[in-house]
Amino acid sequence: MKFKLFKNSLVQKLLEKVPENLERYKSGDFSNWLETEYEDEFFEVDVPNIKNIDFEILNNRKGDRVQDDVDVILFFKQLEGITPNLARDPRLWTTFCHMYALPYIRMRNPTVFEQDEDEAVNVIKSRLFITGGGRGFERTNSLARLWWYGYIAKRTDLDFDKAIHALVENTDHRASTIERPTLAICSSYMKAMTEVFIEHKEKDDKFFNSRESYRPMMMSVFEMAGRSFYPALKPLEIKAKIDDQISLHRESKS
Amino acid sequence: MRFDLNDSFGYPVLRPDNDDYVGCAIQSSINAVADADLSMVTVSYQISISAPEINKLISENKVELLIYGECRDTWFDIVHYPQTKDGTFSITGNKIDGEFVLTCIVVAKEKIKSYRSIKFNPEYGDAKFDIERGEILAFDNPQSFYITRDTFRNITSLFDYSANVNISVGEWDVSLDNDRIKVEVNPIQLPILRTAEGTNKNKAVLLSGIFLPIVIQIINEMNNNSEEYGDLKWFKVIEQKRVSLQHSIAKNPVRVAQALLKQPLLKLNTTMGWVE
Repeated sequence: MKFKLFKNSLVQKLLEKVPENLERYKSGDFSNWLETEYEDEFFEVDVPNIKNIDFEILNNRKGDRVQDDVDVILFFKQLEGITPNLARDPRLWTTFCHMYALPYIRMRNPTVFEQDEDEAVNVIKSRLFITGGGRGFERTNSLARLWWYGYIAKRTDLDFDKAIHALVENTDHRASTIERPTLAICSSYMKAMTEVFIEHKEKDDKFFNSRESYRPMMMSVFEMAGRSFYPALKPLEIKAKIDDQISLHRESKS
Repeated sequence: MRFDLNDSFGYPVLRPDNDDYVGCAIQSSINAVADADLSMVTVSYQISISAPEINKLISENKVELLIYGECRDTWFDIVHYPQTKDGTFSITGNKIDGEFVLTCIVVAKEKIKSYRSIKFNPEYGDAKFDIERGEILAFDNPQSFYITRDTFRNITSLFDYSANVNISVGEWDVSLDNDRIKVEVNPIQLPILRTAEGTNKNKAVLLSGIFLPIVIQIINEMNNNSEEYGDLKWFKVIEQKRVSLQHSIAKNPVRVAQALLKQPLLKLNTTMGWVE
């Protein structure tokens, strides 16, 4: 499949024009306008691994409750074939957000236009463009974050759906893994930690529902990483260390 | 995965700028180079360790020497176990984009009881230490490389225009303090520049009138102020492009800048109807 993407110059123009395009972000459409007015400011990238992307699956989602894990599964599975370095290109996500996924982004950010104009502009910049380095991809852009959550879960080589539910559903789990890339880039650690989350979710272990017990346990896991070099250990060995910490912290609470 | 280089490990660790050990060192010379289309990245290394007890433990297979590579932007990590202290290994290029950090580390493969070295700082006296599997015995400073598709794009893709009300119409200034190079102009000037970018004739003017002097300044800054700017993305990308230029022009900022911009004067020639 060929992706027709914005050139960097068009990304910059749109970024500068967010305040004057507010109405279009609220209820209009960008695709026809940009293709007509800025025809020369697109370029094509051939992505042979992707046959088709159905954005309507996301656009038809109902906003009755936040379900990042479901969105990730719906979106990432279609785009699994793109390489991480293409997924690190701001032009890809800025194009997708503006051309194909506006209804989904509006649904996920229902209060954007209830705020004052400056705040609305800031939210649009963070949700439809890539701002703020790595965080912009992994946390704030409405589509990039879905892909990166999916990619990070896939790296664990565990059951994809279980890994996604375990990592994304609980914001504390997300905060202690995906949002701590310095440690979580270590693939053996991520696999071990995700397995722990899956196991305890399946057992419905209340330990993980209590921030009071969960957070000090995670601090101990982070401290251990300062001395043991996790990449040199097997995921099972790291998991055993995490399990030990859970037992220790569970005992100290009882 | 990064650890605090100055942290106490509770036992002596051989590392640079630290006196846990005296009269010995770990030194690694690592290089990471991407091939022309970024399909493959080759890492070459040479490692030397002069602590006799650590070398003995390596030969006894009780500790292992490894090179750990990580790329924050693509969530990629790799552990390479060298068979000898110098060699190479390769990584598929599409797994890396941006900063790629490589660190040489020595880690315990099994529990080592009562470890001590004659090279320990005398302050340790006769102390012996138990080292657990996975714990670190030695490491060199991480070495950072910048591998990005930007290297294969025009250098002008590193530039952004931005509005600055303090600059008069017709003037411009440049800021090098961020990852991307910022060309600041008056807000009235900004749309004029944007429109000008759309035609080849005006592009020739912009290349010679704005980009060329900036790149000359940048080359001078890179020669004289590498410590100030060395960590920024534009520096690393231009540095990578610069090493591939002909040696004969490498010391002349005016010639280097023209080469990096693919000879702006040729653009003018083309717009004047000149055909080679």
